Amino acid sequence: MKLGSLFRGSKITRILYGSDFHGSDLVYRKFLSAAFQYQANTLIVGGDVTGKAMVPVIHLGGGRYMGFVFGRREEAATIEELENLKKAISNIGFYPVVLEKDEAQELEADPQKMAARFDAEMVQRVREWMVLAEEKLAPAGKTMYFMPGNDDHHSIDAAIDKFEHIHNPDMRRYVIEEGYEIYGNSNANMTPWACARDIEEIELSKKMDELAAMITDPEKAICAIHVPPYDSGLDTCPELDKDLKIITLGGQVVMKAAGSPSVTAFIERVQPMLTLHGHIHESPGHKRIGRTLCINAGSEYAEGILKAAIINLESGKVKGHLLVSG
Amino acid sequence: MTQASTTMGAGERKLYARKSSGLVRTIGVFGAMVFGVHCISLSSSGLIPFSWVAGVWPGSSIIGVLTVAMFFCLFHAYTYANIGAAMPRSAADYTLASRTLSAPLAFAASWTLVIFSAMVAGSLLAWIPKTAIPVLFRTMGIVFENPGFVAFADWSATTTGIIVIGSICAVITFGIMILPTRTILRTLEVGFFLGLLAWAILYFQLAAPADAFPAAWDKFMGAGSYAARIDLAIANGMVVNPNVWIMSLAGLIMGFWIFYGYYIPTFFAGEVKQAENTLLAGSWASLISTWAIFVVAALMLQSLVPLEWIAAESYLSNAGVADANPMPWITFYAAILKPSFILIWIVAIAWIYTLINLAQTYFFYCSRIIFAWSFDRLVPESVCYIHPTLRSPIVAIAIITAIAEVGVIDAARGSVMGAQLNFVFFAVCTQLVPVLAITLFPFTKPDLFENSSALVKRKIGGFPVITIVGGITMAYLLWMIIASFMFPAVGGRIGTGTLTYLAVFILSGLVVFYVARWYRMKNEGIDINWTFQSVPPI
Repeated sequence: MKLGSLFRGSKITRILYGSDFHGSDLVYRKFLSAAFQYQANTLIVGGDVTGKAMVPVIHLGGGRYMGFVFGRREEAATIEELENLKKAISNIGFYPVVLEKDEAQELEADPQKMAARFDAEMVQRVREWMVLAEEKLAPAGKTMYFMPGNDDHHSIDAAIDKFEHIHNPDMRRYVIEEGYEIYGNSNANMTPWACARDIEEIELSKKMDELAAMITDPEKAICAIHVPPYDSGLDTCPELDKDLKIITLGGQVVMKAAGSPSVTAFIERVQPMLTLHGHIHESPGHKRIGRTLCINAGSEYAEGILKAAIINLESGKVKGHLLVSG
Repeated sequence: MTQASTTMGAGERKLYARKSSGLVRTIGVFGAMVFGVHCISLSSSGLIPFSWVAGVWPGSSIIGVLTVAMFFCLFHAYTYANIGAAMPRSAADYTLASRTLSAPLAFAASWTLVIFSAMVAGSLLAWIPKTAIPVLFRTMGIVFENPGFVAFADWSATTTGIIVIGSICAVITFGIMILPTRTILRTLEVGFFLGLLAWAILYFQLAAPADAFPAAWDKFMGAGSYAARIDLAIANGMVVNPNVWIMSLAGLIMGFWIFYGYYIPTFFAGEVKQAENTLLAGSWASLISTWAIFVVAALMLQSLVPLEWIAAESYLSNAGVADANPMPWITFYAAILKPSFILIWIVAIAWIYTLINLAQTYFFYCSRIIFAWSFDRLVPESVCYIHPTLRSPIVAIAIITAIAEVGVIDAARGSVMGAQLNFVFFAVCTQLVPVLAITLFPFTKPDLFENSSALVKRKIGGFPVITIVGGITMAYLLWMIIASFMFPAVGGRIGTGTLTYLAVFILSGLVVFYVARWYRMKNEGIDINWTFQSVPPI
């Protein structure tokens, strides 16, 4: 059976959703590519787009450079090799920073300088991603809704806001084809790491109330809410001890729910058509809460694997969805 | 402000990490090893070398068989660790094969493996009344001269006894597996240490003077019984043939069954971070540690009894010479040397407890694989329903329990699953698919291969190591299939019934795949084949 024949005469809106790329160039490029492969006109990114670490690539002298990738020492002796090393680092989500030895010492000695460099690298990569997306998506008439997450500094927001086919839905409302509406929230309840957009549950509850007040038609609302609903199966992650080490029993990791009760309450009360979540990489899946379909696409950014969801909307309903990885 | 830390190593700068979530996730090698040891089973696999291997090829070396098997299993473990490292997520074998080889074939193989795994879980539960209880209670009956224990042992091994006790064990396993995960894991942890305690007791009991065994045997089994054992076995057809090739043959096929389970953490590779290190070290550690436990016991026993005598006792049991009252069990050998009521009871409890643990591991990995199918929309989402209070996949566990119950009944009636080695045949057949997938991985998906972890993309002279090791593993698997037909005693007597079962389940897997695809296309406008496609970067 030809797939196209099934769509003839129906008005299907196809959404491609991904989250938690954490700076991985490779995964982001796959995400853009997937929009064409799966013929999705609306792309939604659910947050946590920036990387977790910089990798110093130290100039050893004589045009030789050295850096570590996953703890493995890599050397580059030519410009091409250096570019390949930087690309390998970028693909796993880290930022390669080429430094002389004394520059590295200076950076390490000054926390403020280190923080500023981190910020600059994160903003720069987001800006590069936005330029690439605009270049590729605009001619095809596709639009991307690119939202930060709790791990992302507020400094990146400005880099997202200057494009015609890219929008940041964080606490905003956008209307897309067939009258579907997109909303977002980038925060998370407090994590053990106290990240940039972590807020107390009570504050998140207020944010959810604000979001609820913005929604005009829940039956056509798509809410990209970075943190998943509490105890939904989309928020199951390893339990940590006080030293942030994973607790294991009988050879298995002890898992716990880490989502937000406020998000659960919001979904139960507002009943949007679709909610899209990220945050908990190891908990991809879907869950129905009343009429709302909740999806967490998961993340395997460090392995260079894109995890995404394709969602078909028709007549104000989620007609079908599929989690893909590649 | 960003809080950054510098990770230094041996005077070299490695990483400037900022304060962000998720950097610490990793499962220790010990965790993976514990699970592997459970699935190998310190109890059931602990009996087999002495009760079975020795008698199938009289004259073969138990230590040699265990060592040869362990050696080849190292390659198999390496291959499966690579599968988990290449696709670090639940049901990595199915996930890899479906994305790199053929989705319908991978699903059919995985479907078959899960059904047979659930059935073999039932077969293992049936093994408790069929073998474990009779061995342990007969031991106590003989040692403590209690005919009640012997009578119970005899009843336990009847068809009724197996179905009744096996079903009770299935219900107990179901009851444990629907409890919160923390409780399940606690039961596994307790079982791990109970199993070790049981072996410590066996070592203690086997640590006897060199001439102690014959007297101990004759005391409980009748005067002159020890000396007559070898002649009795020969009179019943035993032929001693100490040939290294035969020994190797036994090791290759039986060893796979003895050590089956060391690679199980690959089935939930999604929960294992730094999978490349953890899976390989965990599976090798579980393999080597269980090998060491069994070999030490073999060395201790062989210091007391000649190998030929152990073979004779095992042969009498395998040949079904009931009049001889064969007791080829390491637990019995140990018990008669130091007959202590408390020690024998502790071993008995540990044995039965760890057998239930063994079934738990099968339930556990089957449920993980079913979840992977659900993510790919190949089975209805209701199958993966999570109970809101218990937070366990109660429907999936119920389905596995129902299939396991079929395994219990089947084993009681001596049908296909009655011979657990049939499972080796089934498992090996289904494993051909993912092993072929990882062997060809560098060539079928060169982009994914180049982005894989260091373990997966390791090369020798420019040629992928995984293709070489995968090739060896393929040869090992193919040999086990061929040997199952050539040597029926070891292969579980593969017959028309077994092959029909296999064909029906593989075909049913294909049917389920295509029906699910058709259904999703028709009703949701979704082609599930999309999930198996790779996406090239733009």
